[in-house]
Amino acid sequence: MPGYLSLVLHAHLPFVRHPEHERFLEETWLFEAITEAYIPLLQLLERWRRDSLDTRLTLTLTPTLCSMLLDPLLQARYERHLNELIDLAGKEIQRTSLNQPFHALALFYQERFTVARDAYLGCGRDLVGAFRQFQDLGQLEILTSAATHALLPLLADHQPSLRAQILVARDHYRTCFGREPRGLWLPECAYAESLDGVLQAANIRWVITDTHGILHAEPQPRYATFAPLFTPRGIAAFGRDAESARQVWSRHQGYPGDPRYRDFYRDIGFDLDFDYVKPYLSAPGQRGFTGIKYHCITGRSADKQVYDRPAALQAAEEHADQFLAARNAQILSLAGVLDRPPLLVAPYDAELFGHWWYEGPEFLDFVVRKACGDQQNLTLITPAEYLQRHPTNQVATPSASSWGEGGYWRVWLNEKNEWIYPHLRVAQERMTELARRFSCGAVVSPVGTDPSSPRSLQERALRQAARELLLAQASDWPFILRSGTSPDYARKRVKDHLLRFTTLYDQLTATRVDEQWLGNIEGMDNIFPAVDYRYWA
Amino acid sequence: MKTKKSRSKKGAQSAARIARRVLRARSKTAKIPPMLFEGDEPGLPATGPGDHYALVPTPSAGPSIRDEVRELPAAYGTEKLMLVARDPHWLYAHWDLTQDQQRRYNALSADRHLVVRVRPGTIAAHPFTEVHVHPESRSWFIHVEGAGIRYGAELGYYAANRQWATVATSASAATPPDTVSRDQTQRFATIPMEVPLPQLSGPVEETRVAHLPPLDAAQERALDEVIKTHLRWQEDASSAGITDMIRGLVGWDIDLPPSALPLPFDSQIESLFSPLGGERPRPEDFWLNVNAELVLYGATESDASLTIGGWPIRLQPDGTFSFRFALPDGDHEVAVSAMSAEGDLRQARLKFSRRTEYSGEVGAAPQNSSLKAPDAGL
Repeated sequence: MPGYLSLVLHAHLPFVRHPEHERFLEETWLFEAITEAYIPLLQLLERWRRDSLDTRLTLTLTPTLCSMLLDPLLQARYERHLNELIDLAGKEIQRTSLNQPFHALALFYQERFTVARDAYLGCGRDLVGAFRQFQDLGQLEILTSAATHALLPLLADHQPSLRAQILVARDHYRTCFGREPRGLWLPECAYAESLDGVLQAANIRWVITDTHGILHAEPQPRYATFAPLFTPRGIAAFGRDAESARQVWSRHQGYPGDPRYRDFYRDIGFDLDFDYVKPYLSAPGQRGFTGIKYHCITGRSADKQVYDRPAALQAAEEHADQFLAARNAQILSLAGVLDRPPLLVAPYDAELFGHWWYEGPEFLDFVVRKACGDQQNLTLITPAEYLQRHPTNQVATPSASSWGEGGYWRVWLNEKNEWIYPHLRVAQERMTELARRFSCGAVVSPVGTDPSSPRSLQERALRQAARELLLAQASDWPFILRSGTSPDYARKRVKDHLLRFTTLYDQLTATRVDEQWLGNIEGMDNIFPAVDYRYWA
Repeated sequence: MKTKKSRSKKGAQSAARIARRVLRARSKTAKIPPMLFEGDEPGLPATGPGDHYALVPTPSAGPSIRDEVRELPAAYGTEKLMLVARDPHWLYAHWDLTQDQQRRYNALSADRHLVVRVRPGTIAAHPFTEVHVHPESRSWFIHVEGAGIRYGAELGYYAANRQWATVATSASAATPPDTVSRDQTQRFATIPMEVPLPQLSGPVEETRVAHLPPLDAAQERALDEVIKTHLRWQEDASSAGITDMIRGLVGWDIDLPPSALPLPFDSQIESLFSPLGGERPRPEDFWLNVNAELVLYGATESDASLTIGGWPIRLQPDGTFSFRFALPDGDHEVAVSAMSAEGDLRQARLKFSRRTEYSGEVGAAPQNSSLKAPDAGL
């Protein structure tokens, strides 16, 4: 068996939940990802299971994403969103009744949305539980990530904050999946040596770094990225394979840009009459995406042809063939020269498959089926399984690195977002001050009470302070500020969470806790109900 | 013969001359040199990763919680100096001074502003780089030469007698390396998955594996190929986003609503850019890698519009700007134009020439592939 391929999907969204508004635009990030990426992925897993395929997929479900998927308010809103989509598709069927091939596509969409709704209701609106079942069956390995997807190297010089991001995530994973997490997806694959101690203490067994994290390791890696390294504290670091990523993502040659694939931008939310689409828009009064799109990429010009689904599926199969042929060639040439079977680690954002690249799930399906069907050269594997087969690995320290633009921390620390960090610094130290000050007297829970429920107003405030700090630390906000899309929203989020934290700090140390106000923000920023603020001590 | 005294006096005078020249060069009002930013100015279209958050502007909601109308404090007054290594050649320094504290120190300073000293190693080490910072700045991005080096920083000022006064000292920060390590020793360890890591006390014990022979020439070549793929990929990739690719290279004249694209979190496209360091150093061969960049910077009225090479460039709120170019061999010319709100035009046409003469094999140090030569068009 010459070599291995490890497909890793990373599913993440920042915690966006606004009960104070009836509808909130940024909540649609979640709804679209569920409809177009997560449900299709579950459907793939179900079909693979039914066909008894040994698929070995690795999937990150970040704590913020899981929290949203399990939140009853967001579940209800998603169901409403789906019902509206089905409704809209029904109107489209009528509108296009004399207009083939649009009519066929409208029928296609209604069927897709109805099947998605059946799947969603069929698993009791609990997508986390649905993924968990596949892990329990051995078909899937689920990773956790940092609690709010903070860029860990940037808060690593405050070790309590680092510890809290990792341990809160670990606790949340235990609740969702009933077991210990073995792998942890480093947000943005951002690694620095300062993370090692906390990862070891949490018994995290493996992480993924970008390619140069391994290639620039100290000492030099013998096998480049084709085998993992053990850090001096025993965490296995797997390096992203350059070739696998490039084939999918190359600007000039990447698959998703193929002219036969569905065009993302020609959505009826923009194309059709405003009054017609208005009831289905997420932002009142503003055009937006609905998910119903009738055209394929076609080419450079604005002239788009109608989406031809069979042709698009044909493209997906062709690309799957190419992808596997290239992986096979890679493995064969490496196996000939390395003294152990080469491993290719191929991580991608989960949302690529289905949302960005509509035919992505079908591509994945073809890849997995073909790989399972032909096990001669290439075996699908999870990183944890690789470690079980190959417990002896080279010891080296990966270099600080990320998969962000520039390869380090530039995206998250530049002129547009550097203002955040001095505030986080102070807030982090204050959280430690609170944790130490209020942990001194051990609070024993009375017999019969739930040990995880807070015993006092003070404890509620401490927990909420922890939540506000965690939410302020999300790497999503500086990322958005840098990229210039929705910057006002990101700025407001950082500001709101820092201000709420500061208010709680002042109330806990100087004045007194305002119970009504606390109740309000508990209802809004309700992530991690059982958060242990003592992790910051 | 120069005496020690005259040399040090000369040194102090020359430092002062340089400082004054620097101050004069900036603007008529003797502004401090603007922050030099890593190429954050839009050399490329501003789409890309993070498009997945791009949505129509959020309908503004009145604050439902009373603290939302408050602002974050400008500073906390701890007088601490924070130092972060952002990438192999950039440090970020921030000092937590309130306005009053800053004014007080500025007043004590002969230069009327603070200075950040950055040095590799310990505080006592020499040499150090000095960065004169704007009197109202509380942070600075500082370029450093050494990748894979630990740096320390000090915030202070020169008093009237040119004596240095320290305001704050930072903890150290290490820049990541940007090349393959020269250390080729190989240690292996065996860690079964069943053994919990916390049980391992301290660094892992080395496993006595049968001595692995050094990689032979074929193996070296294969691994070199991996690295070369990366360097090629680096050129192929750009920081333009997934939107370009998914658009199927759609023409830009399509009328799309700005920032109206709800896309899922996608850092993937950024992940295209995985810069690598130099070639694997062969132990027997001595090596040198070299490269050059050009930084254009300046200032104008903050409400003017500025172009560099014909491309509009965003000014900082205080009217300053900076832009980095790659500087390959050849002659280069770039025009900088500023037009005031009333239509007055000022222009500078800068001409540069680089000619490199090599002795022995010299490589090109890797350079941020999003940088373009001045005349390449942005």
